[in-house]
Amino acid sequence: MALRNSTTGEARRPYSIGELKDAANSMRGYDLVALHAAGSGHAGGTLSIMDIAAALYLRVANHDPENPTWQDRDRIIWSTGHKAPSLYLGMAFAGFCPVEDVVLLRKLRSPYQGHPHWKKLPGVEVSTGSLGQGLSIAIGIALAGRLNKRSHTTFCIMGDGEQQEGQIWEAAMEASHHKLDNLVGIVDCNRLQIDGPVSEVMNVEPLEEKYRAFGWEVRRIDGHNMEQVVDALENAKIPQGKPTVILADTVKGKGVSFMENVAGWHGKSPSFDELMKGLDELGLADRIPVKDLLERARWIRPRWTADSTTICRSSRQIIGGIPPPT
Amino acid sequence: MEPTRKGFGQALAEHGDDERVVCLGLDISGSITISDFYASHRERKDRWISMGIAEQSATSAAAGLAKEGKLPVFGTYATSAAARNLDQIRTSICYGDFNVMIAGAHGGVSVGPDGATHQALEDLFAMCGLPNMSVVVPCDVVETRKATNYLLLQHHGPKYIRFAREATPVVTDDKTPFVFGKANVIRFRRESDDFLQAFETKPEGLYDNEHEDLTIVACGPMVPEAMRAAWILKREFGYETRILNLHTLKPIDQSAIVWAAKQTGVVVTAEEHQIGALAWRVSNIITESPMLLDVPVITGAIGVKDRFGDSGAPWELIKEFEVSAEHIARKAVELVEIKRKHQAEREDHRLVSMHS
Repeated sequence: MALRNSTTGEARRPYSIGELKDAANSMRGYDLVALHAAGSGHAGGTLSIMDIAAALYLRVANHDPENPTWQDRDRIIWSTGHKAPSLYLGMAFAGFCPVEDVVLLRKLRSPYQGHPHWKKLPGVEVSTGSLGQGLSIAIGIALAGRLNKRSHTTFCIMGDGEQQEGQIWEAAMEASHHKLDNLVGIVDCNRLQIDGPVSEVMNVEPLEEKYRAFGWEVRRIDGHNMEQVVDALENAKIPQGKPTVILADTVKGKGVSFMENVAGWHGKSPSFDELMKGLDELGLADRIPVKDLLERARWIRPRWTADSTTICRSSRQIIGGIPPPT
Repeated sequence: MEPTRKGFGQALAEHGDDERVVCLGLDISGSITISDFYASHRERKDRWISMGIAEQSATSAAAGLAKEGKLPVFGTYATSAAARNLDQIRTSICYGDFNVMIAGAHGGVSVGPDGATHQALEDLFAMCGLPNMSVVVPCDVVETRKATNYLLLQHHGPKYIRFAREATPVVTDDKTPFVFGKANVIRFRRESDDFLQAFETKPEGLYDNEHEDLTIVACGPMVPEAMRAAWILKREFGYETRILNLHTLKPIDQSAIVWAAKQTGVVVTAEEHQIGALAWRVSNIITESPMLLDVPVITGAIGVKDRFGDSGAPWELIKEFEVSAEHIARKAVELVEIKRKHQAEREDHRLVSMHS
């Protein structure tokens, strides 16, 4: 398990439960900074999945940040692409990319797209964002792993609201039909979606019975209890003839009091005051270089060609808009 | 006469030994001949993956297989292979730019008695509109085999190939050139008991202008209809026709279209689809070309006119929906007459200004 050097097979760094908790907490802080810098994004779900992201990227998944295309790596598919900042922070903390770059989230030509695109950032497995598709992609990857006689595991992170998509159940049927025991589904059950509680918008429970009826091994855990998270993920990697799903009960907006359990924070980013209040609550106000990060986000821009800048500026003058930055 | 889809199965049987090829079954595998991949090759059975009547999930799963270096192939009725799973094709496959081959069967009204629900008449709009996607509509069983061979093993990226259902005339043979993205010119040469012998086919790039009266741009089984139309036009009206077999709809052969428009002045498009997948793309190339700035070009479109299909025999349906050779010929005559009238008026104008 864990971060490996794919050439020597040695573990790069073994994370203890305590270290994972610390990392998840810091990742929440960087998440708030990146969302504030972007001015948009998804606070609630990125915070609810963060403990699982830390456990997967820093301890459970077998992968090598210096060799992101290593054949034997475990694959992590983010079916809920809107939680991209948690994916980027998992990768950054694991060493796939610099953590300070994650503040380039949602900027033009940035590797850190609003929803992940595998061609923009090595280590991102596939491009997701249209809900319901990730589990099927993970099935394709797991089938290929079996055909190639490789023993890697494919993890797929989903949301509970996402379970409303019909494609999820096509995939659930296919994974068990093909006995894909190299596939692990994770459902971030934060119980809220944009329009309100999942139970009111379109109830998806009881998920345990549903997945069991579809032929899956099911485990329900507290998605913020790091011992339970690590234990469930590590156990799920042991093949048992069928796919496993981990239903993780979580709190949307976890770690920031005014975001917790508020549906309105699904697709919202914090103001500067909210950011600083959040960092304070996470005990990170003095530990994250907020000012430097925001400066970086403000000044790093794509290289405009002279021509396009000129054309833009003159047309903006004509229509009276704001000139583009130089 | 043979269904175009058979060429697909032939190509998969022929090249299925490549370990990267993985075929996904979506329940009508015998009909679309994808099962020929393993039928006589049981050792390939582990690369045959049944996914059931669940096109959306299978489409995304194909993307996952391709991400891992496989060459996945799936197909079903075009209404399910390129419409109900459109977002999966868009986001899972095309945005990721994966090597997935999609086969859409039952394209056009000539599907016959199954009726409107199974007659895909819109699939090419969506497939041609997707970045990274390539689209091929082969004209017969032989061209289908060649196109499948090329797309599966040599072409990188998402690709869509469209079949008709009923047996359609075989108008190419092993020697007929097939170059992805390049049109072939077909010319009617002489009357013959053997339909194929009446025509000559050349790659457009090697074709010299014969100052024909008109051009018909066609794809899929409308190519044999266009050939019949060319025959009718020669016999009944003495008109010479340049047919462009535009088997590759995307990327489209711009140069073949522009030269044909410039040299013949009349362009009729023929598609067994709602008018536009072919017609509007061809019109767009003509209107955007600086080469045609001072060249009058008149265009006409044969295809389904914004309506759903119907049950019936294929030959009845191509008449009902006005997509037969006779309809192409009638449109061609109408346009050539306009061109001649216009040419005559210009000539009069020239003579008047010379003498005044």
